[in-house]
Amino acid sequence: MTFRRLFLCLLAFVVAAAAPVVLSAQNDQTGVTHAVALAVEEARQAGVPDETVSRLLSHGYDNRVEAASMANLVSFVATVKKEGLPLEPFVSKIEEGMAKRVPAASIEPVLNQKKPDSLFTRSVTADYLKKYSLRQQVTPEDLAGIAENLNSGLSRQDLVHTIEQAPAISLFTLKRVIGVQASLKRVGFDPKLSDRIVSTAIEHNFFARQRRGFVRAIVAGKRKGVSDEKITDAALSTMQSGGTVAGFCSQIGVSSSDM
Amino acid sequence: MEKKEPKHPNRETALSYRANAGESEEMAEQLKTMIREMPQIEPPARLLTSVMETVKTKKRPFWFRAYRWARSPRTITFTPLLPVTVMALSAILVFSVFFLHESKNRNITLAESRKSIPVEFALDMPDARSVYVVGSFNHWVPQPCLLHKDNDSTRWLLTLQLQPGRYEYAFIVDGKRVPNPETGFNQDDGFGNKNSVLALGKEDDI
Repeated sequence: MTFRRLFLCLLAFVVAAAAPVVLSAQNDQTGVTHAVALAVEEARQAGVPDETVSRLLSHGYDNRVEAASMANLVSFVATVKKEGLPLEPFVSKIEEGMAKRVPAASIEPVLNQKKPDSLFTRSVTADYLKKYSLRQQVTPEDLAGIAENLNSGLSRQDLVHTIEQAPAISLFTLKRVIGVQASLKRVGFDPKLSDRIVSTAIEHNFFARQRRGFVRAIVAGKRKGVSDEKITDAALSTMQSGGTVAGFCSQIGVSSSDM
Repeated sequence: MEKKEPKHPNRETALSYRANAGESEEMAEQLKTMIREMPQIEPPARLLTSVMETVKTKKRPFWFRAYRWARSPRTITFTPLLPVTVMALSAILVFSVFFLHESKNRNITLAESRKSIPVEFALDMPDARSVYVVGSFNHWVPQPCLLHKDNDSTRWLLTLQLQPGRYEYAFIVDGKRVPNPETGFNQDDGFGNKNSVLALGKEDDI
């Protein structure tokens, strides 16, 4: 009997001592979980599809992202949606960061750089359409495609410069031209020669038609040791004469297997 | 003094049976004689056919016969070695099918669509133990995009069915992420590494 009473007293003491710690941890946990729930609700109200939210949460859970960080990331996606920007590039970047076990604190700056780039791209493309009174819708794919070039080497000045010298062409063709310029910059093509290729392409409306493999041919030629000057000369003559990519390839000595 | 033979009921019954048996034998003999003396009458020509048609059973459909066969109890005898052999053969069959499926499964469809484009990912890395491809097309999750290498080859290969669009990707070679060394289209991922860039469909027009 004495032993039983002693055991009960000991148990009561342990419970009394542990209760504040457990309650505090529970409060913290509840607070964080509540923050995630609020962020999810914010995302839903902003119009982020449930599937996207679930994808993010599932990815966060699999990669052991802390709940507080998860709440911030979901909230960021909600903000992107509210701004009317395409979600996929941002969601994909978050997924990439989480999969690469990048701390959320390092993912957020990348997102914070991406968002103004997208807003800037939207603004300059809207100005371009307005300048030529073009009645075209800027699709999320076009916007994401053009903005992506800012994350892969092209500066805002380059983008503005290319758009300013572009005549009234479709947004899709404009996206191709900007994509060529960004690709040439990425492979370290001489910037001045790159500008000449792009301006000649715009002048002759070279990318209005399908030019599959044009940039790949340039990259392959560069990899084979063909000089930038020789590539530029061949590209310019091809554009001016309305030639084909195959003709351009033979001029710089690139075969399909090189590409 | 007259000695009375005691009445025994069983004995009476036995005698009665013997008398009956004698009568039956007699009747049987009479019948045999009558049958022997009967005139020979030829049966009608169609008797056999009509009898056979009457007794002929209707042929049941196959499914019914199969069902009836399946429902009929059977007695099967076997030694303990038989189930062991069957189980071993089944296990070998299952593993063979699984292994063959795994080794031949080099074409994975990530997005079912009529517009899907087959893309072959290849990496020349003979000493690698495992190579995965991860990218925006599979949400950067390695499974199930494991590349395969034949024993007599140095190249790791995998074909994915992808939707048109622009993708970033990298290989995971023995747990380490590397961009595709065989393409010039690489870019910073923003986290201090490089991704390879892949453009498909309209995005690949240039």
